[in-house]
Amino acid sequence: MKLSRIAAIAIAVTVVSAIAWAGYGGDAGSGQVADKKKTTSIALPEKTNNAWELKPFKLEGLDGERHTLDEWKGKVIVLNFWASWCAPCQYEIKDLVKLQSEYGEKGLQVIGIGIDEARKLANVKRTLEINYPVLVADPTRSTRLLSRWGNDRQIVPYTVVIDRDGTIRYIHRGQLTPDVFGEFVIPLLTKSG
Amino acid sequence: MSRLFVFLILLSMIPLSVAAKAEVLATVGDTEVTDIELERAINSSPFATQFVAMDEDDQAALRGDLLQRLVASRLLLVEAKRLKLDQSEEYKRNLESFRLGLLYKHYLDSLRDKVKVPPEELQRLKKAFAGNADALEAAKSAYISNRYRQLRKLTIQSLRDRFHVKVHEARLDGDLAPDTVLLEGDEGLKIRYRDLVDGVALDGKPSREWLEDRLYRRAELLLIAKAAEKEGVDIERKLSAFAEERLPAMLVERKEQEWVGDEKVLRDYLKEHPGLAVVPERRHIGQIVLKTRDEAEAVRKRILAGESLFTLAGEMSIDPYGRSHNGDMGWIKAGTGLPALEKAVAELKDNEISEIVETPRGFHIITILERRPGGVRSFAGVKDRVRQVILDQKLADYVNSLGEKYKVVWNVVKAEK
Repeated sequence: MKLSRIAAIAIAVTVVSAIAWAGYGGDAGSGQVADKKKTTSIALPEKTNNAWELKPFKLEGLDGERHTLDEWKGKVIVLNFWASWCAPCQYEIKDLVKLQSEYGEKGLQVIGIGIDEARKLANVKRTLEINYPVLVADPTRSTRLLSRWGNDRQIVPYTVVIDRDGTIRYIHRGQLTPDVFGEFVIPLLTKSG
Repeated sequence: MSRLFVFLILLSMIPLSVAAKAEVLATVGDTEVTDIELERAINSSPFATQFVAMDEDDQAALRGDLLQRLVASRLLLVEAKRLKLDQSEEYKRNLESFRLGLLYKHYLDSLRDKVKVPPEELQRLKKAFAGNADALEAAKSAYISNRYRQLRKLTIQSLRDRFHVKVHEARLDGDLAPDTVLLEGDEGLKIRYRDLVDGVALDGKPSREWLEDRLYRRAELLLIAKAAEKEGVDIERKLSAFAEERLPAMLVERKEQEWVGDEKVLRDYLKEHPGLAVVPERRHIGQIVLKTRDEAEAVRKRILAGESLFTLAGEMSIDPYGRSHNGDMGWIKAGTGLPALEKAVAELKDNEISEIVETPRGFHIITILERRPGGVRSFAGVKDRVRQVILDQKLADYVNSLGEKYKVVWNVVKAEK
């Protein structure tokens, strides 16, 4: 059990440098495995680093259907939490739209989770021509959902990068920049296997 | 402009991201106002963020409103050019200082852009701030700022050498005439005393420290602008954007001087429109609204028997605002309500419960908590308001007259309502 957990951590930190990896390994080796498993950036409360092991959510999309995240299992998922009043969210959405059309065929799936009124979210989707699914989270009842994904401070924008096998590779607070995308998402789309 | 009309403007503009070519929305004289300009205006407006989340018809209404403003501004620009305001000394001075500022900024920005965090330093920072993207960004910026400061200092030093800059420091202590040259260099680089003090309200001769500071700042500005010029930095588009903004503003400033430059105009206008100085009484009002007269009568009885109008309003009022505010309608100016309510309020004493008042909204029971008496403001107190009222009127008339003088063609589908 412990070994497989260490392996999971090792996978999670492949994107950071070798020394950071050794740092994690060292902790585990001395029997000091932290209670909370770490992603590359944030500890999740459910002590797992795999999105498919988290308690699943079911949210209504702007398409009127109810969706769960595992519909997109097998893709590289960029789970982007946003709100209509948030200017940095709007900037990064414009980038995400471009990225979705550029990398969609390679298996990228951006999923927006709008913490806002459905009507406003739909207006933003129409105006910015969002080309990926947007799920609606009631702002008054989304606290637990956000916390589950490591967002205790309820920040938007907030983005989680999930690999094809469910491994959470990266979590980003604040506006995504093309640099970050190039470093943490594109390698997942281009690697073989 | 009808909603439908502006909605059609929107419809004609939908394929924004697809359209590479600008679509002409209106022509003013022989100039064009395009959808690209309109989008730019929206994106730089204070409501840019909210705009994206607005309903389609609200977006259309805003687009229509902004388009009208753009056309008005264009009319003023065309007229300003006809009046040769762009040949005036004032404008030329403004333009030159804007141009220098642009070149300066452009040069320093590109200098800053050249500063990169070297790979080994970047690795070190990434290790130090693993998992904390904000801290990593901050550390990168700090590194770049530091390097940039050093680079900028070196650049200025080398420009001073390149243009053989000579500073006449001794002159700073002597008698200074406007034309006294304080600094000079190659290619006509020259700073005179008046360049430092023009437009500054001075009380006697400024101190040496002040002069030196101004002198070195000005020298830095000129040197860097010259270097940018030599590199062939293209600022044409920004300069013409400056003209498009500054010239209409200058024309309006002149017109304002003509329309309301004299205080007598304001006094005369106020004499003709004394209502402008009248401040209406304001009343702090409590209200509950019910659907039927029977309900209202029952509620009124309960209030008269001692129950609180406010508690009941919070529970039962059919007016959503009043209900969510427990019947507290805030301070309301006399003359702004429905006629039946105005009449009832006028007859009401403080803290008295009104009779039932019927309006199209329902059956109201009202009370006045407190009042602030109205009155008539003095000329000084109302001057700015009078000025604004006159200007709004005059400017609208003026823009209309320009619209007739230079033909405006709307290239949007007009619809019969």
